[in-house]
Amino acid sequence: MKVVDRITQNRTWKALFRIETVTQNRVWQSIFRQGYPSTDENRAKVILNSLFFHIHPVRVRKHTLKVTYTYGLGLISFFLFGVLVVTGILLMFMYVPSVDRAYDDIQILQTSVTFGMLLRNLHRWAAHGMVLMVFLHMLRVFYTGGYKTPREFNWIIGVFLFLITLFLSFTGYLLPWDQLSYWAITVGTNIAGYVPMLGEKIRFFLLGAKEVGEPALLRFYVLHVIFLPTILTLLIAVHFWRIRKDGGLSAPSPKATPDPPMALNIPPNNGDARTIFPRDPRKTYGLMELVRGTSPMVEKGPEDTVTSWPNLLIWEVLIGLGVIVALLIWSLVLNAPLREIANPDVTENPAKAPWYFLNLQELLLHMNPTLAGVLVPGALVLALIILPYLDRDRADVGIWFASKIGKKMVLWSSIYTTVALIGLVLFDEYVRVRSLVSQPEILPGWIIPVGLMFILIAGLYLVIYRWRPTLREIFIAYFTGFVVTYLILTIIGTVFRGLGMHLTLPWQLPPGAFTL
Amino acid sequence: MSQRVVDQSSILHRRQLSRRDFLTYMWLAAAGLLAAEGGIGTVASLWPRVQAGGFGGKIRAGDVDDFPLGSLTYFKEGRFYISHVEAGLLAFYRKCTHLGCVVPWRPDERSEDNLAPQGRFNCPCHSSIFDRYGLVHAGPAPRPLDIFPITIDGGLVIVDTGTIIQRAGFKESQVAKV
Repeated sequence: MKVVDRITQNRTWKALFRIETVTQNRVWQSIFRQGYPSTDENRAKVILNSLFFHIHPVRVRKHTLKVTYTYGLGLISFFLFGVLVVTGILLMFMYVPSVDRAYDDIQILQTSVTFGMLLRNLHRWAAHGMVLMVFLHMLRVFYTGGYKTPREFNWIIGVFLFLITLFLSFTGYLLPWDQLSYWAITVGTNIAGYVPMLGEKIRFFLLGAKEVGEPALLRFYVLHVIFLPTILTLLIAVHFWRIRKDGGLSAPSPKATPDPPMALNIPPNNGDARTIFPRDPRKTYGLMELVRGTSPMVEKGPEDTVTSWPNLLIWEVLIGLGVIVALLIWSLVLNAPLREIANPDVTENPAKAPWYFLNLQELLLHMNPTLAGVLVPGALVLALIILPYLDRDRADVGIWFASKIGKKMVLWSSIYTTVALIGLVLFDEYVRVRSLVSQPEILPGWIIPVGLMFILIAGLYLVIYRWRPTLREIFIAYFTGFVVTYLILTIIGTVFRGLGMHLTLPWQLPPGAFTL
Repeated sequence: MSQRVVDQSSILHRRQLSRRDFLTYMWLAAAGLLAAEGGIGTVASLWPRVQAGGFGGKIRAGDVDDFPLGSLTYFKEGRFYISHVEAGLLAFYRKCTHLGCVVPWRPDERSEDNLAPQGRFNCPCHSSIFDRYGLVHAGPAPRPLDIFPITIDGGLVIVDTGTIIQRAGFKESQVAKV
């Protein structure tokens, strides 16, 4: 003990090892213009003075920080994108987009490059994770009414972010140049060929040839590493900026807040807002300002906020770390698939797209390709875009599923859609619409599927009609229908489709039929 | 007096484009033109220069006698099959008309035509089934297999893989008579 004391209890040691040595000098103070953010003033300044922090507000609503409101899904998506950029740039050092080298480069990456397999796994699983998280983020925003005025435009940007995420995944899927890539992209771009009028031209332009080959690989590579990421980055910037400009994350109006007016009467240690808005019993009240809203805001800070440093930032750090840890564990356990080198002469059986496109591929089994691959997805995207302009009631913003009836909508719409879809898929597999009506082609290809869709849509309304739902609740029912359809078709396509895309039990799938 | 002056100016405003508006429109038009030129130029410069993927010439498939009735022969380099049906020879492009998968010939599966008891095309992607005429018997394929024109020159079968013919059904006129 004495030895330790002798070393540490002297001026030299103390001068070297104290925080002031680092911060009390001109270099440090030329970079950071405020003291340590332990006071509200410095906590405001640390946000305002930093390029990297200033996209945050100085103060953030307590409601925004509730984990059960956002589940951090948008942030998780963003961090996954960060991982993808970093690992993607590293992969670019080791990969040449040419038919002669691409597959070999991936094999060398996996077998010879130090941490190469891990690098590829991280990139692959982060991409899949991003697709999933962006989708879940969309669900969160929908079910909490986050798309409503004034956030309509940001919702639309979100829809495009989802689409670009899908395109990024799709273009990346070709690059390993194995059988999986080759046939997934062949099938995928053939869908583009079914766009009315321009389809074949679009496909030709996209592939740079009539079939997937050298030009397609180069084109997809450029789209994947520069074009789409740039657009995505720009849209993310606008997306984040609009969050601020639209008044932060959506939250219930104060009327719906269960807090009593004395909400700030909280223990001193937790009383961040208290320091700025002290509760003073001797205070007299006067009319200071008229603001929108339906309840008095006496003794509440504006919108019940706390400083972003550290309350918001600590969550961002934790979520970022969590993403990296989860991704690392997943990537250590599961390797990204790599089949034999792409062979244009032999189509894999079954030839499947990546899992998040198998919903679309499932639709293709049952109707005309223009309908399944172009019109239905197109109509869905259009519906998502115009949704915020149809639903303008702001009463239930910030409340999960809007109301008790809203929750019933979710439940019954899920049940209805599940039963109907599984029934239809089984029917088309074992009875087959085409064995009943095969001529003319327009019947099984167009009229029957479109007719069934309309019947299903009308049927859902009949199911929910007895609760006399509001417009918002009707939208919840239909959106749930869409989500459940998406999920069920994805699951069927992923684990129930075997040889020749016939229905198979998951444990009887042929080897290679299940690939992520 | 003053009333008249005001009236005239308002009429003038209504009838004539002000210089400022005119210049604004011209700037907008110029910007639009520039954007269009840029867009069209980009697409034009990126437009694929190669037509068809490697194959695309006329290919000698063999002698007429090489293809007995009901037989199916695969030409991997030429990417086509030759099928001998009752009326004559057909050359199928191997791509499924649904989503472009290569359609393999399955000689052991139950036949869908009356030429032989066994043999048909099974598409592995969405399980479309085609017979020896290229006609669809199951699955989502919207039309029969596409064909290439065949010419028979002194017993030599020549397939023109540069011309892909889409068809709605089988007609006698599609075959090369043997």
